[in-house]
Order: sequence, then C-alpha cells, then structure tokens
Amino acid sequence: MNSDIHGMSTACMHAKSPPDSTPRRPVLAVSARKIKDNAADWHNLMMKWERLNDNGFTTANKIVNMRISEQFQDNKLEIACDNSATEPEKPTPKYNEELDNCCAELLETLKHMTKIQLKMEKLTSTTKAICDLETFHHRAGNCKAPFFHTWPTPYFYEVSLKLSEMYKKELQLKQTIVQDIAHCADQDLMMVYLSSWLYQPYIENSSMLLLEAMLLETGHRQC
Amino acid sequence: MMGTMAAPAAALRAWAEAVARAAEAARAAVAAAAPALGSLAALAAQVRALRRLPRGAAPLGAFPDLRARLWLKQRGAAEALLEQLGERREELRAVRDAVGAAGSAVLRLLEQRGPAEPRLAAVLRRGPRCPSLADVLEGLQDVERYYRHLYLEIKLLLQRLSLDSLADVEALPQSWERILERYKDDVVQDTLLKVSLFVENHHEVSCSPGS
Repeated sequence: MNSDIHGMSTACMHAKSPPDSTPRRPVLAVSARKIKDNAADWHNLMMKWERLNDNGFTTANKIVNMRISEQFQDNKLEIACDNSATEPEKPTPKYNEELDNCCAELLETLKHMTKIQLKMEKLTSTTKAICDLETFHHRAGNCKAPFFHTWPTPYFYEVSLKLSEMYKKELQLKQTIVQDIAHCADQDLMMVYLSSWLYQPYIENSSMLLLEAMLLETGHRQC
Repeated sequence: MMGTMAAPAAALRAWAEAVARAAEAARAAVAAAAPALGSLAALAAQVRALRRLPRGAAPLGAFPDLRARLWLKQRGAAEALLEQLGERREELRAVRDAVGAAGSAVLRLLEQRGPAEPRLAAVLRRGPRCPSLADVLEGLQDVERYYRHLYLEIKLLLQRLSLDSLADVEALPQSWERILERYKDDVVQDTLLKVSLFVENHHEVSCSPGS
C-alpha cells in the first residue's frame, strides 16, 4: 500500500490548483483509491490485532496459572505456620522473576495493541476527511455516484467509526485487565479477565461482517 | 469346489476392508474431538466464574455491560465448539452406517446362497485354528453393535450438554473418556482376525485337491 503514497501526493497537488483548470475526476479517483487502501489497512490491522490478542492470551494465561499456584503454596504455608507454634512469622512473598517477565510481555503486547488502535482512529479520521472533501465537491455541482458498487462514501466513515469505537472500548478493557491481572487475589475475577481477554466482548461479531463487506465493496474480495 | 466359498470369502474380505477403514475413521473422529472437549470444559469454568463474580466488581465497574457482552461471546463460543463436536458425532454415524452396510452385504449374500451351499456343514464346523461361519457372523454382529452403541452413547452425551448445567460441561472430557474406556476396539480387532482366519482356511480348504 505504500506504493500508493506517491500517487496520492501528486493528486493532492492537483486539488490545490485553481478549480477551473483542475479536472475533478482524478481527485475522486484518488479518494476512491484512498478508501480502497483504508479497507486493506483495516483488514491488516484487525488481523494483526487478532495475532496480538492470541499472544496476549497465552501470556495472561501463564500469569493466572502462576498466581493460582502461588496462592495454593501460600495457603499450604499458612496452614503449616498455624500448626507450628515455634514459627509464627508469616513467610514474606518472594520475588517471582517469571511472573515479572510475563507481566512485561503482556505490557508490550498491550503497547502494540494501543498503536494499532491509534492507527484505526487515524483511518477513521482520513475517511471522514474524504467524506468532507466529497461533500465539498458535491456542493460544487459534481454528481455523487458511489466510488465502487453501492456504498455511499459516508457509509465507509460510518463503518470505520463503528469498528474504531469497538476497538477503543476493547483496548480500555484490556488496559484494566493488564493493570490488575497480576495483583488481584480473586480467582473468579482472574478467570473473567482471561475470558474477557480471549473473547473480546466489546468487539462485536458484526465486526468481521463489516470488514468483509468493506473488502467486497472495494474490490479486495471477489463475489 | 473352488467357487463354492469364493463369493462369501470375497464378501468377507470386502467387509474386513470396509471395517478397517471405518475403524480408522472412528479413531480419527474420536482423536479430533479431544481439543474441543478441553476447550468446552475450560469455557464452562469461565462461565461459572462470570456467574459467581459480584455485579460491578471493583476494577470492572467501568464496564457495566461487560457481563452481558461476555456471556454472549461465551455462548457463541460454546455453540461453535458443540457444532465441532456435532461434526465428530456425524463422522461416527457415518462409521456406524458403513459398518452396518458392510455387514448386511455379507448376510444378504449368505442368505441367498445358504440353502444351496453344499459345504454348509463344513463351514459351520469349528476347527482348532479356524473359526466357524457362525463365529464369524457373530463377530460381524458384535462389530456392528459396537459402532451402533458407541455412536448412540456419544450422541446422548452431547445431546444432554447445556450451559445450564455447567458441572456436566466441565466434566465432559472425563465423561467422554469413560465412554471410550468401555469401547476399546478389541471386538473389532478380534473379529477382523477371525474373519481373516476364516477366509484363509476356507480358501485353503476349497483349494486343496482332497477336499
């Protein structure tokens, strides 16, 4: 998709030249290409997010397993301490390097996911700008035919916004999970964190449908 | 003399080939079910945790609709896993049908030829290293029953599953294993051996000049 950047900048230069001498068609063609690129970007970002989610789940799972076995050990020690009157001191929690590494790994995954979510927001704002541009041209008396098959341009923005909002909320949930997963003591809560990480409740099932529809509309997928 | 046993022997050989194929398919179906069973049990534990979690548990307070949304996803995942297991069940049904059809083909042939079979008495006699035809037919029925019951038990186990009774779903891998323990395919292997001994012997008998 980077190969299109050059073409895009040339077209923008055309758009800046006086309106009378500017052929409008190329601007629209460039908008269409940008939307097509955006659709491909959406696909790539969502796939990347899924991979990161899988990796993150593996790490989160390890963290929870370590926490649970730690709790189990602590309980055993407490019972042992209760039984022996000579050693009433509570054992101090020892530093767990592996747990620390896993937490760092999960933070790293979250950092990548944050970057992806920012890129998604950028895609949405680009789409919004294309819509505005089109509205501007429409006012100037151009016909408002769809760029591809049937979708009016604002629908691309609507879909982008919908997807973007889902990922934004999901990222917020993941941030909460990462902050608490290695500290909470409630096993049910840990399990809910894991399940939430895996099943991503804020990314609705319709997201895949929206993406596929967008790819189909822009010609990345064939009927 | 050679032709007398040739047709049943050929039918039994075809049966043995069909059953060997079916046994392989059944083994593959059972093995392929293992990951889905484990995932479903883990999922049930997650559903249980979600149900037990007090409403608005501290760090998740900012996500009031999380419970409903996560439940929706969990249910969807459970349905997908059950669908996968349903495919394995259908594979076992195909095995049952294939074994049933192979057995019927042998019985039909014997029924048609039975009264005209001149060496019937010899075929019914059991030798030291040769099972009688009756032994073989009994084996055929055992194998058919084996796959019929295996399919039925798996079908019933899966039919009873529901996220309303989480304990059953959590215990699914163990319940599945218990069924399989009762269905070691010894019956199938024994019968395949019996059939091959029978076919070999009667081939020899019908080929030897003195018989």
